[in-house]
Amino acid sequence: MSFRTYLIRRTLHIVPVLVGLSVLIFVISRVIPGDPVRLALGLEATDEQVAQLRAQLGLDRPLAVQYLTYVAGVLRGDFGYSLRTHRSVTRDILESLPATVELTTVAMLLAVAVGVPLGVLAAVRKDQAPDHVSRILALVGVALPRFWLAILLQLLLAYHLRWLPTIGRGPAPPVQVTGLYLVDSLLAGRVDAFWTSLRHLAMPALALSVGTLAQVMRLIRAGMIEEMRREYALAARSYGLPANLIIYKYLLKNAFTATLTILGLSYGFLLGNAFLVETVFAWPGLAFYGVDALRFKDFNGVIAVTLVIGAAYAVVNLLTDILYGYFDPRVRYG
Amino acid sequence: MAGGQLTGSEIRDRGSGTVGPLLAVEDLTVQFRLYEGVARVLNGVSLTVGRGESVALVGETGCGKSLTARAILGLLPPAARVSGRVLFEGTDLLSLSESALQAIRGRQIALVFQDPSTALNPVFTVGEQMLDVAAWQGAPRARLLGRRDGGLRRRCLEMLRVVRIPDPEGIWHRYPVELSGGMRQRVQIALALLGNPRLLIADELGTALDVSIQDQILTELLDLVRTRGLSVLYITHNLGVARAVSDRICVMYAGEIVETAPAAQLFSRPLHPYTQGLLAAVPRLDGRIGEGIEGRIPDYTAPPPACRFSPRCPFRMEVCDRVRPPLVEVEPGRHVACHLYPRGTS
Amino acid sequence: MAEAVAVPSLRAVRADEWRKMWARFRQSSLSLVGAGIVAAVVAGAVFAPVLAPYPRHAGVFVDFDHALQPPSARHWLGTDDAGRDILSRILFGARISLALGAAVLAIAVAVGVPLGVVAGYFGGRAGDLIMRVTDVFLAVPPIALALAVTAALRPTLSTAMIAIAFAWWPWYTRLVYGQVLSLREQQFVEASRAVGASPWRIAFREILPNTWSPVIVKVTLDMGFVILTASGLSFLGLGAQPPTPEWGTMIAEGRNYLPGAWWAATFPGLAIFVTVLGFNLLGDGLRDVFDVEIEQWRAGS
Repeated sequence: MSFRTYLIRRTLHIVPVLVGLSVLIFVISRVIPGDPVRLALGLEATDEQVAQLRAQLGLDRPLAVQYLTYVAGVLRGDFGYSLRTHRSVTRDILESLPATVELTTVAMLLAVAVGVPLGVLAAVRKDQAPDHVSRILALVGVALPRFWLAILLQLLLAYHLRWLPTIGRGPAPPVQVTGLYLVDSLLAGRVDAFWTSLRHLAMPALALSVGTLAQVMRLIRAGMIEEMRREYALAARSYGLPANLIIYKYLLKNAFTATLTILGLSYGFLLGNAFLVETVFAWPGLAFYGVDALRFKDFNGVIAVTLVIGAAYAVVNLLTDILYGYFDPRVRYG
Repeated sequence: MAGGQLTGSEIRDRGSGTVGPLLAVEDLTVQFRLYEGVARVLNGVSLTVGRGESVALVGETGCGKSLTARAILGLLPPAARVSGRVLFEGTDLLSLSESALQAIRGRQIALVFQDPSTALNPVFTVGEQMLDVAAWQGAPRARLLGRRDGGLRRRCLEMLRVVRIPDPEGIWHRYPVELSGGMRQRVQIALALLGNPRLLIADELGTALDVSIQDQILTELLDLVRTRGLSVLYITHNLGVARAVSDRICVMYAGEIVETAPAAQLFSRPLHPYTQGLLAAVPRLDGRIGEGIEGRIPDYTAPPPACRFSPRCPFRMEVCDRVRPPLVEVEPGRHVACHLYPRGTS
Repeated sequence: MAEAVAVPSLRAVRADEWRKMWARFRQSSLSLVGAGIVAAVVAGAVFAPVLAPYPRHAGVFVDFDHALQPPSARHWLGTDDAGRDILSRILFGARISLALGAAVLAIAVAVGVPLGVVAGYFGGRAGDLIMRVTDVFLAVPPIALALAVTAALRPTLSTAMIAIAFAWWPWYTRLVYGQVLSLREQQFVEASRAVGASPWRIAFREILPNTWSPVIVKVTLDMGFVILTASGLSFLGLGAQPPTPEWGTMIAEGRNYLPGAWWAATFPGLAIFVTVLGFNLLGDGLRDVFDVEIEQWRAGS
């Protein structure tokens, strides 16, 4: 099977999963016991008003019809109407998505940028002080409740030291192109706006990345140690190549490639934790929106958020698979 | 001591006029600490390779041949405890620092690996790997970016031609996975030869390949060795190969050298019972296969007390379990470690 | 080293196996620390009524005169906004977290493992369908799926439990599926087939027992993650509700009194952290002991 065929198959594999997910979430959301419509209209609403809105939203039709109508809408980019914000869910999602993309991307980059060097260091200094420190860091990083870490960071860095803003994303940069504040402020050529956005982003990104960082560090360490045992590493040494070339070029590329697929998977858990971290920092992202939608039983919002997260997760995993093939010729030719 | 008796004795000295062998391993001992106890996997190994000489190190799988090769180049894992001497041009490699060793690896002593599909880095092209070796061999540090020198590339392509790769430019941008086994083996030999080493250690060369390709590669390597005046230590479990490629054969059993002899003499009149058994196991021209030897290599954490071969030896005597037989010269050019041959008789 | 081949006498193998397992476990002091932490948390939960200085504070109790007092000799970890002793509440909270974790994993194992055996051993249409459904469940991070489920239910402790279990079982299906696939071709199974054992008997009596060690290791490792997830749901107000002394709920309540009363949010979080750490360490130790490979790559939940 060529790599191209593999990728096409891999991409097509996403479709049934997302369809299955949409059915699952749709069914879950429609068995809600309380009446979301009554909740939205308030207690004073008359029965006629409720019935009217139900009919208007198509909630009086059979479940299968409702589902098909919904899917048809989604395919046109219409996620329905929100009973909570009284706006189109698509618009809500489009507004909150960039904040989450920015947060999770920066958290992932941070995890890789810090986790990879630490992992290499731990592997090179195996069973010495750096390795022990990294092991403890990893254990702590994985076991820390993210929302608790977020609160501790707020206590320390915002309340006590007053280094960073406590909550929020800060003011929007003057130009809105991508919705990513860091990018937009740079596009506008405003270094001050960039700095402000970065300061707002720092704590949420740190709190979110800790677990992934720990994971990356341990995976890179394990990968490096495994690669060191391979014959090509011994061969490289037998040619008289310097240690830095063997470690940072030969071993690291192999170890990083092996870590890549798992990086894609751990992105899912980053997204999951975003629900908690965004709540603590009042970060106006998708997860924050999702939690509010949950609290108000706004099922269109809940379905949309879950679907978008599932899709984002699937796309990221596809990307890591493509990268994997790019880095490792064995996948392409194997 | 066994080693002392060997070094001074008969040294074939071809080519250069310098006295002493190119490589002299003396009483090399390697131990690993395991859960089950201490495993002494090399137990006082001594051997020499003269200038321009081809020596074969022969033994069953697991007898410590490959370990000897790695110990010579200082490539054992850090957990290994090594003692003895590895004299290369009179310098003890075991006493050298890692950086001094690095300057010797590849440029003085090079290793050719058994399985080229695992010895080549899977995620870099042939050209990339060759350029790295050409550019950074022996350097204390490498620059990780930059460096693309036309001269280096020409040198690498030339070396690929030397190992008879028909289309060096064509495989330059290929990954190992895209090459045939024989091609990979040639590339690996080219990498080993890139630093113009004086001693080549070939570990089970071509064993991972088809027999016909293995023969071809061996013939090509023999040619190279002759034209370049290389010294070679062939490591093999195959006595037939050993006879074809070497002047002298060292037979190894359970981490010890039990017999060394000029290749032809070893075959016409093996002395050590283990060698006799090995020869009996070699397929004959008349199609018969010999009997082989009963039993297997002993547990290294609890080896037999004196002679490690005694439990499998048909001529076992009472002394064999009491006194370890030293490797002694029993006739000119022939050494054997066995109580059947008291010193100077045979 | 591959060169050093040890051949222990056949008789000693069994006894040696156990000794080696213990040696492997003991080898890492971290595993022992983990076992110690887990034992302490379990003891704290079991003996909470005895250990807690103010057992009544675990439930509905109000004493506004002593609200938000900092840690002192009377209240080691301070009091919350209703004047309840935080230490007492944390001890009772351990009962909730452990019970919830155990319940979730019991459901996940009870549902996931048989499905994995069926999919792995029998394969075919049904097996295909099971794994497809598993894929769908695994397409969203567990906490996101659990959140979506809580939306359909009233937020209580038991709905949080159901929601998490709902998101968790596919991991066990996948783990067991992989195990069964590799076990299916092994000799002892071939032998059972040869003597005419029924497929169900082979699947559940011969193969299933051989999948237990990875499942046990995974359950231990997951215990921490389930507790994390549950406290996260409660923190969001979608799990246990006040005044239940659930750790996540306590943090959510205490958070309103930051930065002044820092202890109200800090100590329950510490309890979660230590408990999760304990289970992770213990799980790592067990993984070394049973010598199983588990893809435990998830960065918390």
